This record gives sequence, C-alpha cells and structure tokens, in this order.
Amino acid sequence: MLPPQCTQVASISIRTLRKRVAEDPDFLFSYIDEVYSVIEKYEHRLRAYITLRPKSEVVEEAERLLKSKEIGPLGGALVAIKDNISTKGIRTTCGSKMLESYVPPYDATVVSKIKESGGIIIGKTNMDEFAMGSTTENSAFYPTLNPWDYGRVPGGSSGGSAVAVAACEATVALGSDTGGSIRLPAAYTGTVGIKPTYGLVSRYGLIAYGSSLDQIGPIARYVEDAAVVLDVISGHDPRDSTSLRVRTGYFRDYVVDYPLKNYRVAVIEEMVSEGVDRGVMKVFSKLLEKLEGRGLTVEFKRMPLLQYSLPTYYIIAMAEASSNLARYDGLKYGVRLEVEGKLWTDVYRKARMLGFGDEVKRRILIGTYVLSEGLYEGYYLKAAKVRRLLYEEFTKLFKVYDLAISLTSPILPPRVGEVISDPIKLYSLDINTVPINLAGLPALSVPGGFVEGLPVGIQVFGPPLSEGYILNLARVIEVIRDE
Amino acid sequence: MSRVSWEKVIKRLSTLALIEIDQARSDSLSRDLERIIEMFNKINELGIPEEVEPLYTTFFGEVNLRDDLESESMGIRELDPVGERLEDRYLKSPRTL
Amino acid sequence: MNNDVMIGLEVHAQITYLRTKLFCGCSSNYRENPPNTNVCPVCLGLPGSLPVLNKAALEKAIALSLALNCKISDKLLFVRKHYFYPDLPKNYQISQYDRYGLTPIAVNGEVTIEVDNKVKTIRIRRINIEEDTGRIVYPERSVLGSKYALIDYNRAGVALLEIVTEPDFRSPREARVFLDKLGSILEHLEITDTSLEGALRADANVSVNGGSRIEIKNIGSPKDLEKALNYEIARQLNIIKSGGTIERETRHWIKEKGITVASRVKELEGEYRYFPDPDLPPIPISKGLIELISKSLPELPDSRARRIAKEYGVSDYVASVLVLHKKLCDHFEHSSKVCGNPKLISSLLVNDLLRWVDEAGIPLAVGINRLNTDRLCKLVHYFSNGLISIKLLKDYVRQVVLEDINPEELVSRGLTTIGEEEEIEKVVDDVFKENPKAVSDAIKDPKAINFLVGQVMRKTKGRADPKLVNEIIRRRLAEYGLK
Repeated sequence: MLPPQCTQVASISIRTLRKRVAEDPDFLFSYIDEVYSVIEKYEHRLRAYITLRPKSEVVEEAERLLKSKEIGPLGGALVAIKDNISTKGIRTTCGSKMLESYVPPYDATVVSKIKESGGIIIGKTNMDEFAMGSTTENSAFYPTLNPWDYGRVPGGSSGGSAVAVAACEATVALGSDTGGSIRLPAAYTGTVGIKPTYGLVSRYGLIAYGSSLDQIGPIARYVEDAAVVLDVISGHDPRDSTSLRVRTGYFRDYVVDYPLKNYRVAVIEEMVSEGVDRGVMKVFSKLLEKLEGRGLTVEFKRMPLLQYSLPTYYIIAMAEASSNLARYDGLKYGVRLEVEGKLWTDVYRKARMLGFGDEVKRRILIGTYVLSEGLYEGYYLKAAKVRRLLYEEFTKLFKVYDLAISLTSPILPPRVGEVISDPIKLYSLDINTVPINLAGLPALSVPGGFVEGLPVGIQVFGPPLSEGYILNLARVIEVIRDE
Repeated sequence: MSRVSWEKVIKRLSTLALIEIDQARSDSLSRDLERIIEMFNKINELGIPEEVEPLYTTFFGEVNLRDDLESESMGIRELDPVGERLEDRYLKSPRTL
Repeated sequence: MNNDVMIGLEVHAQITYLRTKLFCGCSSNYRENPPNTNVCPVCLGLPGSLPVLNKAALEKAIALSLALNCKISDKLLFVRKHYFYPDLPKNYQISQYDRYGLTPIAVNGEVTIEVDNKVKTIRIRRINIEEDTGRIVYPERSVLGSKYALIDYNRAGVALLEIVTEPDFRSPREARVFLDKLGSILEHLEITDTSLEGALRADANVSVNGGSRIEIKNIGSPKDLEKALNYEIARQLNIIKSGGTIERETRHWIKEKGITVASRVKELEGEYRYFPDPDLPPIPISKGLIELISKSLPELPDSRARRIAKEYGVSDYVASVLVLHKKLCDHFEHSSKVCGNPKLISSLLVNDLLRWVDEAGIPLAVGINRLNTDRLCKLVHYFSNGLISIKLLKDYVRQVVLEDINPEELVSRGLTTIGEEEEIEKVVDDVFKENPKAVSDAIKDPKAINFLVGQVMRKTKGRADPKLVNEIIRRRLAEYGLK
C-alpha cells in the first residue's frame, strides 16, 4: 500500500528502524540518506514541506542521539510536524502569509515529547492556512499534491504531513484535527491518522483554530507506528487546562493481528449512504464482510441528527476561529507594517487584509457574524445545543456498541481545483469526520483498499478513550484488507 | 436577505473584525457568505427542547489549576531578537488616537 | 446635593497580593520591572499558548464575594470579551459574563456605608475575575505629539476583580465613602495594596434628573472619585440649566486638570461578542471550598472598628477612621500595645498623621514608617513625663512625619517644655524691662496681661508652659503693684 515514491529502506516502520539501529548505529545515517534522496527526487512535485531542515542539521542531531544513553521509543524516527505546531527556533507559519516570518520562542508540549523520545524533527509541513480547508490547496504558499496521483488533492488540512509520510519523505508526522484534518488526508493518501479523544494530547503550542475541537494526532504508514507516536505524545500537561489526567497504558500493546474482543460494531447509515462513490462503497462492503468473518458483530444504525452536524460544526468552528485569530494584528510578530504616524485601526485592518487569505477571511467574518449581538442565540447558542444532542446520541450508541465504523470520506480524492472554488462543496468533504470532533471522540482513518489506484479510508471510532480498541480494530483491518 | 443588505452586513463585520475588504471581492464574498449562512439556517429546522443545555466543551476531566508560584519569564527580546519592533524594550505601536 | 443624582460604580481591583498573574507564572509585580520583562507566551498571547488559572486568585475572589455578602456561583465560567486594542495581547480579554445562561463568580451582594450619621445599604450587582491589559505610553509624553505609541505588557494578565454596584449612590460623597470602605475590605482580605498606583481604579456611571447615563473612566482614588463626580454633576446641571440635554457618552477623568473630557466615540462599541472560553472549561466551586475560606476569613473593617472602640476605649468615629486604612489600624493596635495610651496614639494618628501625609501628598505607608512605633512611644513618653506640652507634641509629630526626624534629635535641639521656673522668671523679667507701658497697663487692667504672656511665649518659642507663665507674671505684677 505504498505509493511509487517510496523505497524499501525509506518505508520501514519505527520498529524496524529501532531494530536495525540497535544492530548497527550507522544504519540511522543510511536511513536519513535514503529519506533525503526521496525528498530530493519528489519534493519539488509533492511540496509536502514548508520548511525542510537541512540534512546536515538532521545528521548532527542523529549523532547526538546515538551518543545519548537511551535512543527512546522513536529511535531516530524522522518526524514531520504540521506547521501549526510551535517549534522553538524553527519558523512556524500556519500556512499563512500572516506568520511567514514567525519563529516561536517555545516548543509545543508534543514537540518536547517527540524530542525527548528520540524523534528527530525533519521539517514543518504544508497545510491549509490556519487549518481552514480540506484539500491543502488553501496554503498561502503552494498546494501539496497527492502522491498517488499528482492531479488530485491529498486532503487537508494536514495534507503536508500525510503526503510526507505516504511518500516516505518522513517516518511519521504530527497533524491536527479540528473537523477531519488528520483523517481526511490520511484517507486520501493511504496513511493511518488518529484524532485522539479531546484532552488526551496537549494542545499547548498548537496554533488554535477551533479550540474546543482541535486535537493533535499522529499520521503514519502503519497502525503500529501511529500507536507508538500516540504513546509518546499523549499524557497530562499542566500547561493545558483541557488536558486529561488519565493513565491509558501503552496503545502499542493493542496493536495485535486479531480482535481483542468480539466487538459489536455499529455502522451509521447516514455516514455511508448519501453521495457515496460506488467503488468506495464496494471496498467498504467487502471489508464489513471480512470483519464479520472474523467473528465481529456489525449492525447498521440510524442517527438522523447527523444531518445537522455540518452546520453545527461550522458555526462553532468559525465562531471560535474568529476569536482565536483576533490576535493576528501584525504588532508583536508576523506581518510587519510601518507604524510611525499611522493610526492603529488602519494598521490592523491592513495587516489583516494582507496577512489572511480568502478562506480565512470568510471564516473570521462568519464567525464574527454568528457571535454578534442579536444573532448569538440563533446560531452559536443553538449550535452548542445541537452539539449537546449529538454528544448524547453518541453516548447512547456506545452504551450498546464497542466501536463504530464508517467511510472517512464518501468519495475518492477530488481533482486539484475541483472543490476549492465552492465553499459548500469544500465543507461537505468533512461530512463524516466533523461529528466526531463535536462529540470529542477518538477516531482513526486506516486504508481499507483501493479504487482505480486510489486509497479508500475507513474511519473507526468509539467512546472517549477507546483508542486502544480502535487501534486494535484498525490493525485487524490492516491485516485482512489484502486477504 | 438581499444582496445590498449583505453588503451592509459585510461592512459591519469588517469593522468588527478589523479586516479591510477588497472592494473588487466584496461581491463574491457576499455571495459566499449568503450561501454559508443559508447552510447554517438548516439547524433552525430542528426543534430543540427548552431544557437542553448548550455544550461548549467536551472536556469533562478535572481542570488544571496552578499554584501561585513564579515560573521563568521570557523577555520580549526572545520574540524579536533583532529588535525591529522595539524601542527601549517597549513594543512600538501605531498611534492610538 | 441634588436629590436626583444616580451613581453606580465599576471598580477594578488588582489582586496585588498574588505573586503571579491570573493565567501564567509571570510575576505580577510589574511596577519594579523594566518594560516587557515579566512576560511569557501566555500573557503575550503568542500563537498556541493556553491559560491556566491561578488557584489563589479564585480563593481571593471567593473571599471578597463572602465579604461583600454575595451569592457565589457553583462554578467558575470564563468568557472571552472581544475588542481590538494595542494593549490587549490577544485582542480579547478573558473575563466573565452574566447573559446567555452564563454567570460571574458572584452576584447580589451588599455593603453598608455611613454618611452623615446615616447608614445606607449599597447593592453589589456582581463580581468578575478578569485579566488586566498592558500599558501604553507615548514617547513624547503626549498622545497628540507622538508619532507612535509604546507598549509594555508587564501588566498584561495581572489578576483583576471587577466589582459592579447598582446605581445606589445619591451623592459623590457616598460613592467616595463606599470606595474607601471597599479599599479597606480589600486591604483586610490581603487582596489589594490600594496604595499602589493603579491598583484600585474606578469607572462611574452618573445621571442627573433621570437623564442619560454618562460613564466616567480612569479614576484612580476615592478622593478623585468624589472630585470627578462633583465636576461631572455640575457640568451636567449647567448644560440642563442652559436648556441643553445630556447625551449618553463615555468621558475620561483628567486628574491633572480636574476635569472630565469626552472620549472619541468608538464605532460599534459594546459589540464584545462574548462566548465561553473553550480553553477554560467550567471549574466547580464546591461548598466545602467556600466554607473553608469563610472560616479563615480575617476580621473585616466593621467588626474591627467595633472591637477597637471597645478594647481601646476610643470613640466610634476614631475607630471608623482607623479601620479605613488597614496599615494605620495595624500600626495603632501595635503601638498601643507597646507604648500604652491608645487614646493619645489614636488621636495623633487620626488627627495629625493623616492630616500631614494628605497635605504633603506623602504615601500613608511612608508616613507610618516615619512615625513608627519606636518614635511614637518616645513622643508619648516625652509628653507624659512633662518634657513636652501637647502643643509641642503635635508639632513634633508634624516634623517627624514631614521631615523624617528622630524625636531625640528634636529634643537635643532643646525644643522641650521649659520646666524650670527660674528660667521663665528670667524671660519674664526681660519682657517687663522691654515693655514698661504694657506692665503698667496690666497692673491697672488684669485683662491686658495676655499681651505679656504672648511676648513670653514668643521669646521661648512656645516651649514654656502657658499656665506657668501666667502664674509667674501675675506674681511679678503683684510684686510691682506693691512698689
């Protein structure tokens, strides 16, 4: 399930990398060479990165790592970081002109954890500006292309991270998921992406889009790699008031080839009916059969409330975005304008006009609209109530079922330019992913097969903190899909 | 709402959000906004019982509180090592009147 | 004062007794630091940073809510209040709100004040916890003369308590008495050191004869509050008298000039787009916590005044003045215990110390430092030993407070009461020699004796006991009369 850019060495798993390095430390340098040669060959087409670290820096870090006592669970893995996650001393643009020159003076908690666990940051990946988009075409710099078909989008907004991993330009990556931004590109690039339970992974250092929805998560080529990275980045963080205090055990222990339980799995009809591509549906049906063959119970359930999840999601996300993006005025960092002799409102207006792209402006304006006097109750407050209803529906569902399964996206990756010009079409790509964020649930996208040489993503989700079982089922899918 | 009133709304929003709107793009913007709001209006079809409490966050854990202990501060210089935005450690800002 | 005056107050009290800011570990003691040194990603509002609440701030807010007899919410909810301004790092302020089903920490309290021997209850509408803004200064020391502004974010994020009253004040005097009392309560609770510049600020709403409400901002002390309100009411009455009407507006108090001026009307002011801060989920406030704080509440001004009057035998009035300033009251109790004579000490503190620090514009703490317990004891001692008269005692206090002189120093300058009769007799003889006419007048008319007494007092620079001088002169006159 690897695209043509990958080579055998560049595509190894973290487990293999650790094993080979343990046998021969110099292997780490051959591996770095190999990844950089893939980058050299294909990056000019794919454009997965906004900032790629020079190989010499990465090699230096590898040398330091090999000299240290412990090589850590990541064992020298080359980790690509989405460019909305703060990295001390490395430019963090959020895919925006607004932050083109912004160099954070601090590391996000997840970045510190990656570094402490033997991960080497290889670069910062391309994304839709401020994570607003589902195709990575909304980057202020350039679009990222799909490694399976350069004429198609890789999904977004974490498209750069997904492509870097899919095309073997990195070992694993971190993305962020507000309404599907990890799972959708994972589905379109044939990688594994996890949106963890809200609060499982610290958001400290993640440049906020919709704070009550945002979660950082791993993107990997293999379910096991995703679990290893989730083990590293999850855990309580005193810097984040929404960080859970839970002991989850090791997620990688759940990554076994057989189901740990005879799961009762729900399929929500609304997620696999309307507008589903026929080929995609075939892959899904075949997979369900195979799962039943493994002794799992699969049942179809209706959840009519889901038809309201898109407007509910976009009202909440845009409201929060309009607030989170208020701070970008060009004064302390980012776009810098002359201030002498100028009036502050003029400078702010100008900086925000020049710094933000069209989609960001749209969402800020609409977010401002739904929060404004007289409209708050009809939009924002109402959406928050629908969110409650949705949350309760899922709670009920998971009293009966262990897990649920759906398509990550009802369609194959759109062609470049196909949806970008129409906001409603663009937003509809997230139809199956946004309900998960509204309810704060964990979800994962794993490749379930191919249609016309393009990967089809399967979404597995469950009640809060069911990541272990989700990973287990994902691994089972990874094993049975080719049978 | 008519196109004209949408233009008015956009003007007000651009004042509230302090974003200058390119006049040439105002037309397509008001068309987009109108369609998005139309999509939002779908939730009005849904009757919601009075007693439903809004859900603002799905975090149900114990919220971190901090003890009143000092941690290391960072000077503004770390943000602007070159000092191009600073004057005597102050941040330069446009006039406020 | 006009009966139809209605005044409401919005008081902002910094929690100066906290070591750190409301949502980050930066020092809240910004007054001693060079600009922009106690700042961090959180209080600078850098992308990706998140707020974490200072537990002690919550406890202080609960203490104040109890002291002001408020109803305390069972949960702490923070909202974002949006407005753009260069001193506001995130372009929103984390605050609290009382609409849309949200609630501030406390509502519906009351405080009694006493003005002109009448006791009156002032209703407290609500108490908010919120963060302070940065400070703007102008390079040319004036707003208009400067081509740009300069910002110091050291103050940004310092914890504030906002106390909002109902419009229950009928005169500027009442408002001042309330603010004095509130300041004292804040001092006793160790929330605010009100002597610090900018630690206690007030905005006042005032309307005359049922007219429009005018908001006056930027008032820095109880004294200024009374001045500003007097000015504003007179201004409004003048307008009404000359046939004009009062338009609703915001005005600024200009302390240096003693006037209020209209603020430039901001477009769409009041559109703050409040919504719950998703970074700070609700924090339960348990009954147990409230009880715990209630039990450890220190003695508050009202009960302290009652105790002091009883324990030290001072008048109710003197006690009520003493408790207005916690430091003064502490000083009184301590000094009374050390040197005895509480009545005399209270009189020196209330009548003399307060007068001189006020006239000279010296901070009370400095005045107390100068007139410390040690010096106060010595002065009381000199007086009770007859070394100095009450007149000299009061004069000594003035010099100690204004010039920071040791009482011993004053004594060594010979400024003591002349106790020796011989010495006074010598001076009387001199005066008699210099004023033969006055002597013969006095022999004829006993009333004319006062001139001679005055002359003796002048020559002794007030050091002689007037009673003794009178006695000696009469004796001498009797002797002369016989001749």
